[in-house]
Amino acid sequence: MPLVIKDVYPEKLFRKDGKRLDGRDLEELRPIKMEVGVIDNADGSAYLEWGNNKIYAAVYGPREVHPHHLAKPDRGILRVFYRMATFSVFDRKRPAPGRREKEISMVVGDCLEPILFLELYPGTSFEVFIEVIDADGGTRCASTTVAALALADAGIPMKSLVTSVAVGKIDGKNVVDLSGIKIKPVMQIYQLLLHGITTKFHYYNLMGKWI
Amino acid sequence: MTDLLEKAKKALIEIHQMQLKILKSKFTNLQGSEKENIGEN
Repeated sequence: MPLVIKDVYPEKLFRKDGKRLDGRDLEELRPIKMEVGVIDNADGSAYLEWGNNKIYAAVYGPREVHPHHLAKPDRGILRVFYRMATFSVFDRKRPAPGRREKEISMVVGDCLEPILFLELYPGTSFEVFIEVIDADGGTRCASTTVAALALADAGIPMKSLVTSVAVGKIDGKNVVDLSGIKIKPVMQIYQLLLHGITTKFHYYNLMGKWI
Repeated sequence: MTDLLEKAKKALIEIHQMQLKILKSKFTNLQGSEKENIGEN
């Protein structure tokens, strides 16, 4: 007989003192640890721990484009490959890239492309590989942040760094840096991802319905 | 909405400072030959 583990939802999302269940204030970020130059074989690499998220990013390029028909004669191209390890989540994740991974790869690519001088590298490609080792909510924001760090580590000319954070509403309260806590379907959570070049917001990704 | 964006901006600046700090510590500790290799790609 298969073992069935039911999801356990918290009854409340806030403590009596108004803080979140993990003890954070509404505006408080989870602890963040960053490191660069962690993978010797890559041109640039970075590692990020954001709460319980653990993410590696490796950058290769500029290098020849494979397959060749993807190359652009007037500019370089940026390709992002976001992947979650099968053991990164509680339920085993299928190893094949899913729709979510493809979507996040596209989102991260859209965030990073404006900060690169791709026109300086015609006919070449930059490849960013993002590997999520442990996931606890907000991996797309963490991935964007760590990918920008890896690009900078590779010494690739950039206009600025990209940082990203998820903000949203839980039970009508504005909160910053949402974690992967299981939410009861009746509780409303709205997440707005902000990917900013310094203090200018240049990419919004709205999930759910905004009220 | 405005309040949320303000909070987001504050958080983004905080993370941005961390990124700058880690990159600064890396690029200021480079040896001579490593400095020359930066951007050589």
